[in-house]
Amino acid sequence: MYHYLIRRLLLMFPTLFGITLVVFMVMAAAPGGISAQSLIEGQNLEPEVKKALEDYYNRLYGLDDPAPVQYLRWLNNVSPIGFTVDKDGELEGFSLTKGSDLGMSFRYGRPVLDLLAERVPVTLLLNVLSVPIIYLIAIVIGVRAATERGRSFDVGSGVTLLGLWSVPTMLAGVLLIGFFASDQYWHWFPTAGLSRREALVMPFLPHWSAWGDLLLLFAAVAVAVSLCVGISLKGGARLRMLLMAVLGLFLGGMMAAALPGEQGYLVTLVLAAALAGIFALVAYTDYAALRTGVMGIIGLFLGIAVAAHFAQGEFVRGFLLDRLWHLALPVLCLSYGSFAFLAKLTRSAVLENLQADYARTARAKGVPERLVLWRHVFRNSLLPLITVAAGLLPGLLGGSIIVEALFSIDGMGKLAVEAVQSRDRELVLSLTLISGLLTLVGYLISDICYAIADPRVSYE
Amino acid sequence: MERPFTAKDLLLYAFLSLLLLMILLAMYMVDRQWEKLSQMQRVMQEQADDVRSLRDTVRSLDQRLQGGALASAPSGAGAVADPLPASFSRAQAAAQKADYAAGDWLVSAFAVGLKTITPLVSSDRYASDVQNYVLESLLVRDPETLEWQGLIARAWQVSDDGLTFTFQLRDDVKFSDGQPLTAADVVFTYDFIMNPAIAAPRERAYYDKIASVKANGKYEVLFRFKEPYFNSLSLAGGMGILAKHFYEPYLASPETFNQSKGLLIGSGPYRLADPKSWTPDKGGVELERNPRYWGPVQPPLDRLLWKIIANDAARLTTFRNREIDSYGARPREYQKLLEDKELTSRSQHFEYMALTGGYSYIGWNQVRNDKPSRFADPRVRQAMTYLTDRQRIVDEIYLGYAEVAVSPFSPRSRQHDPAIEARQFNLETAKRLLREAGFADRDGDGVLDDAAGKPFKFELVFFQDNEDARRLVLLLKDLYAKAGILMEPKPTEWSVMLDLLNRKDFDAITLGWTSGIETDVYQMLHSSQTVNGGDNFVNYRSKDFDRVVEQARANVNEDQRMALWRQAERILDEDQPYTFLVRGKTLAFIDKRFHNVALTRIGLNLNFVPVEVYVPAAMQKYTD
Amino acid sequence: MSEGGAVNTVPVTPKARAQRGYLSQAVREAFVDWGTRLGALWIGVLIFIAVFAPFLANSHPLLLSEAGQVRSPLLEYLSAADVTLLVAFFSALALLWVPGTVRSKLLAWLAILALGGLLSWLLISPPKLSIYEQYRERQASGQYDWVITAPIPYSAKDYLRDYGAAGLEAPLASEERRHWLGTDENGADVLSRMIHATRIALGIGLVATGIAMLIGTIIGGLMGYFSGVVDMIGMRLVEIFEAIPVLFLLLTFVAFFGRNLYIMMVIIGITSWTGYARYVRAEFLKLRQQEFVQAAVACGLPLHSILFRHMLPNGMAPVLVAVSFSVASAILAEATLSFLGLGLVDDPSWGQMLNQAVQAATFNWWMAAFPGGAIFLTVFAYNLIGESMRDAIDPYLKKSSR
Repeated sequence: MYHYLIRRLLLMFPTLFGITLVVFMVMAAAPGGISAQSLIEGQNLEPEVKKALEDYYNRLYGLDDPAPVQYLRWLNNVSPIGFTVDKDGELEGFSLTKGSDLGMSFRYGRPVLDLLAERVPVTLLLNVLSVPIIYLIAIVIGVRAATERGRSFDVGSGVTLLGLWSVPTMLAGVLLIGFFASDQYWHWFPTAGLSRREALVMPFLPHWSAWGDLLLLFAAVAVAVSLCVGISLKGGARLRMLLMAVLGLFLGGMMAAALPGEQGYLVTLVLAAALAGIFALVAYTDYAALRTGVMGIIGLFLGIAVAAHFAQGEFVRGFLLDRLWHLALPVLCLSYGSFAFLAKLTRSAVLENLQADYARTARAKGVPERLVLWRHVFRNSLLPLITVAAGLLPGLLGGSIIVEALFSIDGMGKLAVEAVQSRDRELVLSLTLISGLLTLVGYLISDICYAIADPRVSYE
Repeated sequence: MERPFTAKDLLLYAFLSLLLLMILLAMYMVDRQWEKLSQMQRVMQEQADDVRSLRDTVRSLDQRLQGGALASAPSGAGAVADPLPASFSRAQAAAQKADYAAGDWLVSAFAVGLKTITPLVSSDRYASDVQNYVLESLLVRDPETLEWQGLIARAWQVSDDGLTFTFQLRDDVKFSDGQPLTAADVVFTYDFIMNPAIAAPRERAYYDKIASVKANGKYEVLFRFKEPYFNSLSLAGGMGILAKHFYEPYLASPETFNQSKGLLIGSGPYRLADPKSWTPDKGGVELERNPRYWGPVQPPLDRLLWKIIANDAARLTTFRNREIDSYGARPREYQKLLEDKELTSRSQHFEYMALTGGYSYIGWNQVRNDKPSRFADPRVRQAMTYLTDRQRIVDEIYLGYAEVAVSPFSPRSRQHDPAIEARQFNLETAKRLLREAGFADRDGDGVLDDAAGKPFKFELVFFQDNEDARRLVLLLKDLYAKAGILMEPKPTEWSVMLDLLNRKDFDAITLGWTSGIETDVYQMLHSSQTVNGGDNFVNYRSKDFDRVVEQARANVNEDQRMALWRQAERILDEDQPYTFLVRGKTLAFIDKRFHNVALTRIGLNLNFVPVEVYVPAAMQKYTD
Repeated sequence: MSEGGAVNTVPVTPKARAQRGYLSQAVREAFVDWGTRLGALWIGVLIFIAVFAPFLANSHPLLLSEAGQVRSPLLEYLSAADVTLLVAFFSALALLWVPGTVRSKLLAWLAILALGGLLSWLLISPPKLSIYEQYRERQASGQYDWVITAPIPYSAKDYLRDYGAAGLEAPLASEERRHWLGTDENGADVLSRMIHATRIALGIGLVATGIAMLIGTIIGGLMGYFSGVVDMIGMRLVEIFEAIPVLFLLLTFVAFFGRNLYIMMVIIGITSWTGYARYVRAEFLKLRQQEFVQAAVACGLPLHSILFRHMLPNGMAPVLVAVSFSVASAILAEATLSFLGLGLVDDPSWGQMLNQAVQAATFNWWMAAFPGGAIFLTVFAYNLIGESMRDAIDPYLKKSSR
């Protein structure tokens, strides 16, 4: 095992080298390659001025050197051991402790490390929020689909999740922005960025000027949530569906009324019917955990809406809430498509374990099915999910280009596009190096996880 | 045997991570508070300094009073009699309006993130927008008459040969840290720019025309030019004055300055809260009112804010949400937005031809791969102009918010000869010209061929991210098809386009140039600029044109110069090196709470310094 | 969220049965599923639309009579590609009725296709320039006795210059013209563009997947057969291509080669072969130990014969299952490229139309809903087919679902 590990680690070096080399070659050979001309802004420049600027940038970044020299110099800068260079560009000697330096980005004129330090937290924030949501929902649905295999929930959830997976991210993003973040329809969410300017001077946590409002909020939320949960748990299917459909009708009507401009009856009717249908479908599901969860969330929002409507005093949103409000749509966009794959994986893993000998033994011992599922089968089914999680590693920091572009979030994905388009040598190379490293580490971890999970796999 | 992982453990872990998150958030919160505290501390320090200097002044006044000096020298009366400088007259007029009030912020948006706002190092328009409020120059232009007026300079004289400019400075100008601005600062600014260690190659190349800048006493400066140049007064008078005491230390370590992000201090009405610590990751720029501003009219707005919103649609939504106060729309947006009652009721809109607005064009490359292209024939270029239905472009692409461009000179400037008119769309004339140039459909496929049988087919390069250009190119494609010319659109990314321009490796390209108040056409069309990297990338060479432009540039007599510019314009009109397309209107929406927003000859006065716009007290939105 | 982590865990291969029979059985089983049938139906509809696009939406009238003379501009302007597609479609239809083995039918079809394609490229040369508005103008001035147009009388690139409209009209907003799905930012009919874009969507999916499969199979096969050093180098190559952000390659390749439909297919193809290489490698690593391969080697058969005649047919099952998903992701890749503003300019594509929903000042719902819906349905259809193929081929799940 250790032998294998060391071999894999050593093999990473040529691969990383290959990645950066390929990227550098492609970039240098592309039309408009790596040169100072794209650094010069403004067109109305006299040739002398332009020349002077070009010379300056060439000197600063060594852009007029032949491509191999540029690459080797970058490699030397990045590697933690290597040659040190004095001010005039002469080699000084070999050092084992010079440390690695990712260099300066041309486009931003800042150290790449600074840019990464600024962008990585943003992307990480998005992913840290969306990954648990994805896993939670995928597991909840996957486990149920396995125990219900072949029945309507299995087929229905499978098709629905596959459908969600097939929705292009840009379509979802455009529709979400178009309908829920523009004042042509419902302006409930902000369109861009991560926080409003005012939020920077707001207190961190939400703040109420009147204590009564806070009490009202708690009371309304508690009542609404417990009502919804109560209906979900105690009410019969008919009652649940009826109540939820009525609620849906009411909310749909409210939504139609919230639209700017005069709306015809048709819009109101369609909206109300659609919402009623969705709510009734939720209430119809006989999967108690999912149903109760969704209805609880509906109750939560209902309570908040009621409290907001009747609140008297002033309410300061606070930095935290403002940030979450900005993150809602991007996180939704990032997560909806990923359920299908994970749920399918969970389903097949749980299925396999449900029919395993140990599960049969447990059942034979008289362990209740519920315990068999959650205590024995589920625990063993988690391993493939963990294995897959290792593959998420590069994605965690890589960022989603489309989501970040749609919502103007300055994360890693946008940085990468800008870097490639402006032929920013240092930035492109650093980004590929990092994403390459993460990909390779992800593979390694998932292979190791796989070996731990399944002792039959040997890497000798 | 390990303990099984139960739901209880899961809860425990969830609780622990929640706790950790809360601790992190609390730390973040404390950090924010600490920043705020340090900011307050600095403000208080400054105020203490001010109070001390005030006390000093009072004490010296006291002493002089006791010595009976005041009675003999009515210095107080002298200050009152000091006339208001002409450059402040507009701001003064605004301040005397009935609803005038100080306060509120102006929030704008930048489409691109700023790299640096340090003067000289910065190169983009956005940084200069910010610096405009912080740095002041000796002279400013009057927005209506376009004449120069003194700002820091009280008066100035030009020598008879037009080579020496003498400026007398005001003696009451102070930088925002309280230090006085003197002739030494002006000289320092020039020396600083010309210092090769400073990363200001652009400015250095411009100021290369100046032979020397010398101080004559504390409040007089002499600029000496090497040769007569029509733009020399704007070169000398428009230089933003840097503070010697602030920037001089960086001469010892020029790299620190060159790499710096936010070293910005000046004598202008606004300042950075901390002149040294701005960084691009702040996500925008925030200027506060300069409490020590010397000017006779204090700026009304408390704070100026620029946010960075790269996405066009997002910028518009932000404006709709009233999070930014101004929005520059594209024609189609503008038209749609005008229909939006809610938006128009709370904003004011302006459509105007800015004097410095610029024009778009198609450049026909006359030499490609060292061989004359089919556009080397002036008849072909004229035919292309006849085919380019520019009125239609104005109507359909710009929805009427533009005008047909005739030449590089604005029709509102004196450089333009009103006798020259734009060529109208004329299919027949174009076909005739093409026939004369030897083009005919020889193989019956509908496309014109030259004598050698090569079809008239060319690529039109355009910038891929420009929506209007994309629509324009498709329209042109259909227009040229009518005459049997096959045009292929070639969308190109910016870096590739620069590369094509540099190598002059394209058939035709559509781009735009900005204009100045007096537009110089030397760099884009003079034959000397066909060199590598020059802006005459269409390889236009005309001896007549070269001669006329050279004369115009060296002529400091305005009337003679204008006649020469007009002569150059006539040559261009005949030769059509470019097909000049349109001059677009600036279409701006501005929040209604800003009053006194008005159009001048130069453009909208929203961003003028001295600040002329204000928010009446009842409408103010932000407070410090 | 990539499937990258799961790709190298392909342990399931049925060994006992003959692979080909197994595959056709799997296909048959997959088509029992109603989802697959719906998916296949949708793709069938798309194929029909793609083949008959010029007859469904075209500004050139189908038939017109001018001063007593009857002519058909639509047929005059039919391009070689149009004719080739028609030949392919009708020959396929005809061959379905002719008895014979699948293999011989396929060969016959390919032969007809090649011949028809060659002939049409050689013989058909429609005018290179089309002035679409001429028919409407002449009809308005009464030069034609009568005109029969296509159901949608607008071509994909007909920007309605004679109306001088600024574009972006909501569906059925205009009184004088009927645009069922509105117009795009240049004034072209959205429905017409969507119909013509069907070709691009289907073509990009198939060609890009074909290229990816070809490269992946060859590299994966060589790695699996030779193992050892070749395998190690090959795996590094695979890892390099997986670790380089696809977007980087797409952006630079577009800068390299310009925006051409065929080049886009190739670009998407050569950035997505690594999955196939991994599948084939895993299969071949197992197959090379088996007797029939050993026997073939012992007989001294040439390498290409061993690889392609003996091993490949037995190792293709997981590859063919992945095809359907791969087509779906190729369509998404094109949409992503277009969305980033790197797609086609003049030629219609669904992604490029979807892009316009965001770019214009206001939210134009019809530019999002219709082209976006088309992308969604097509991707969903391919995914449905792929999903049931996977289920059908996975013996474990099949057993348990009974």
